Amino acid sequence: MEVMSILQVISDVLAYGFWLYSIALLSSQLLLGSLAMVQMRQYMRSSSFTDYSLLAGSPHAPGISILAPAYNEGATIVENVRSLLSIHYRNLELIVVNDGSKDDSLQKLIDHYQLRKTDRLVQTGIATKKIRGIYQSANPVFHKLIVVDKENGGKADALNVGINVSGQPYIVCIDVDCIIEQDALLKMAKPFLDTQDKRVIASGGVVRIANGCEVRNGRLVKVHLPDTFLPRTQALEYFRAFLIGRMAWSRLNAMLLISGAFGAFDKEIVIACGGYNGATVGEDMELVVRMRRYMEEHRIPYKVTYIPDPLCWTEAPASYKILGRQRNRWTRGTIETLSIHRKMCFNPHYGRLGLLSFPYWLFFELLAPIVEAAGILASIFMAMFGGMNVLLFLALLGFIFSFGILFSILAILMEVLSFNQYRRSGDILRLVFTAILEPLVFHPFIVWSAIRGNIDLMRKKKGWGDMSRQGFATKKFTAGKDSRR
Amino acid sequence: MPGLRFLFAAMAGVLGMLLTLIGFILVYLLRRKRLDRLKDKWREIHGEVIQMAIVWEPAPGDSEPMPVPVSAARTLGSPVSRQCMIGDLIKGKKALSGAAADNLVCLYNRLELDRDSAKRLMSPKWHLQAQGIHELATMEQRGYVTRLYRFTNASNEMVRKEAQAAIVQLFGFEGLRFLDVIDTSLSEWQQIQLLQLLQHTTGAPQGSLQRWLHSSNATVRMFTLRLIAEHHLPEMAPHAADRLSDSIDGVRLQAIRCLRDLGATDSCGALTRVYPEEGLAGQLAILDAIGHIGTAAQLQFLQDQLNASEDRIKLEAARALVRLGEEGLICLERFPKIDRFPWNDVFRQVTCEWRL
Repeated sequence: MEVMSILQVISDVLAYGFWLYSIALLSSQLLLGSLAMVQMRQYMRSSSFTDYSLLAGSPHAPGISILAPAYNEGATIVENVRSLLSIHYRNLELIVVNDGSKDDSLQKLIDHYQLRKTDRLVQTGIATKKIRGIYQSANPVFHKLIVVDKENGGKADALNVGINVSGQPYIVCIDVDCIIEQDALLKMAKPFLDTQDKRVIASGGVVRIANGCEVRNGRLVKVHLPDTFLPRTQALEYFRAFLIGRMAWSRLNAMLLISGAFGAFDKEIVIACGGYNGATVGEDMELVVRMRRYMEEHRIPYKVTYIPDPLCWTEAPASYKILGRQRNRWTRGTIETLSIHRKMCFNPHYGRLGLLSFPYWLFFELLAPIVEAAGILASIFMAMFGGMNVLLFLALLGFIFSFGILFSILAILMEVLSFNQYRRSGDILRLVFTAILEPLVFHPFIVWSAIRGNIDLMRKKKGWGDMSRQGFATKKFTAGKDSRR
Repeated sequence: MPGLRFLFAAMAGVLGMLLTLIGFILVYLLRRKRLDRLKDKWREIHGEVIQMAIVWEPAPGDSEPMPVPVSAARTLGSPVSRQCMIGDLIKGKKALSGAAADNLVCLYNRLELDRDSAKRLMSPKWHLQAQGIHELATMEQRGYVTRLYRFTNASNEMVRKEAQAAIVQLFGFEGLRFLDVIDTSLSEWQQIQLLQLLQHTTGAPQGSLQRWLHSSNATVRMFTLRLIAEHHLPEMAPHAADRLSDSIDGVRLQAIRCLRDLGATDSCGALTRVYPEEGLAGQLAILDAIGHIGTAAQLQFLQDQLNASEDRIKLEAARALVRLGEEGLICLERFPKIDRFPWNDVFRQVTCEWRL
């Protein structure tokens, strides 16, 4: 009897605990959804008559360095660089950092772009691995291109080398195999110029899924929804993350993450913060948190902005194996970042960062998979021992299931009302069906990958693992495998 | 069980919202598809009208207004079609100049589309007001200046900036009168926009420029310096040089660049005088300026900067020496430490840049 009553107490505590957590999570999602809609409407209205082209040829446009680390990208590097060189922007330098590739990436660049080794005094503001050589083209057509060859040190180290070599006040950090829209920099540069009372230290862009799209000569010519389930689910997931999540956090000026695939930064602040941290696999998030922390601690008014236009396209993992590695790494990166900056949690000294964003990431991004898995296991256990009403459990599961679908549909609605990239008839319906299937198939896998990420971190696993991609060399980009660090 | 009932009710609510949203999305897409088809049809007709307007030339002595095809007039019964036409005319106006652009303005007036744009000024929604202002300014509707000017003090930032740009677009330098009274900052973006609107305008008012250089608003001072440089007004160089002692870093930086762009060789003395008091950014800007406008008199100054502790100063000083020609290059080559690091790297970099 005593054992039963103890079990009952535990069951009640767990049940109420999970209830409260669920209510808090769902309420926060509703709030984020509302904020995102308001912010999106404001952005669409203000950008409808903004003439971005006035920056394209203006001598007053601020200089930007695009930093593109590359590792074993020999199959596609020439095309990727050509695509980046065609970006419309006057004061631009493109710095490709060859991070000790074992293939012929560097030689291909040298041959195709007529590169010669040059001498360049490199600022050693941030400590990095050794630079073996800096190359520039003898052909004035490619005068914007700088290629840096260095010892292998990882993505963060490669970006730090790029920062040291850069001669412009703003940097845009990208993945070299992403496709960037030609007017991307015009839109990314505007926030840095349009805010007078606060310093814009970083601006994030949207990353869209290129799987299924038509790519020609390194440029996206037609947008299609991915044909296969896994990339299509990720497309939906990215809608939620970018069109709702980041939009809402941007409205609150409390965004903690800018995608490593596409983000612009004020170089002076990046250097003041010490550049990218090579000791974490979540270097993109960690840098933004550190920059924000720096500005808060120095009491400098600042902003981190966000551009919701589809400006950057990337290949999503098309196999569960690669997807699992990616999500595992994202989880480890999040834990590492939150751990490094744990001082900020619930600390009023850090304003919204400490009282809002940090706790949200801790409880609803990091802990959510653990709570979810524990909740389901506990419920099954309780149900087996008669400690829980099975009907109640199923009803709760059904409610959460349908709320998740609702949130996805809201994200689809925001996409339809804003950029509406998927115009083939049936695309939106396919997305709706994907939203219904996602909680049954995709979501449990993501939860499992996140839990594995937690376990791997406890086992002190480091590194990215093999992230295979096919690249954009084919005319119609389809799912497949290729090599990537 | 009350908990169960509540859950089922909540689930029913969520499912209801779900179905409503899905229904809304589908209906919206269907309507948008229909509207897109209509717009494509209108655009075809509008395109023909616009092409006719672009090449239209009145016959000598002919006072007949520009003809408008009946098919076009028929499509312009709907407000959406009219807005479509306005959009197409604006795109065309921005892409063209001269008689072709004037003809588009003529067509805009002929179709009385200014009334649609003016109607937007009355909207309580800020984005419609801003759009109306933008349309009237682009289509050179000077008759609306009184109404537009009222918006230059609007509480909404977007409307205010759009109105300020509109007045400048319509009246050139005269439209910059708001700089006398503005108490908000001019963002970099707005400054770039205004500079672009004025790029083909002449007759910069010197009296006003001098007044704006002494404005209490630092961004107005910065903008004025940019204006002086952009319009190559060497007679304003002494006034720009006065700004080298401004209390705001950004203004001093702009003053340095202005003197460089004006080619004001005789301000090199002033630049070298303020150099020691400047921060790194200011010093780099001064070295860059001297590289462009300096003479043999600055060679020693530049060579002295090669001994600076900051490598960026060394590099910029070396660049400036190379830019000053053969004398500067000889000066650099004869620098005693040129064979040591980092001066050897600096030398190789600047000579490589010069060769490229």
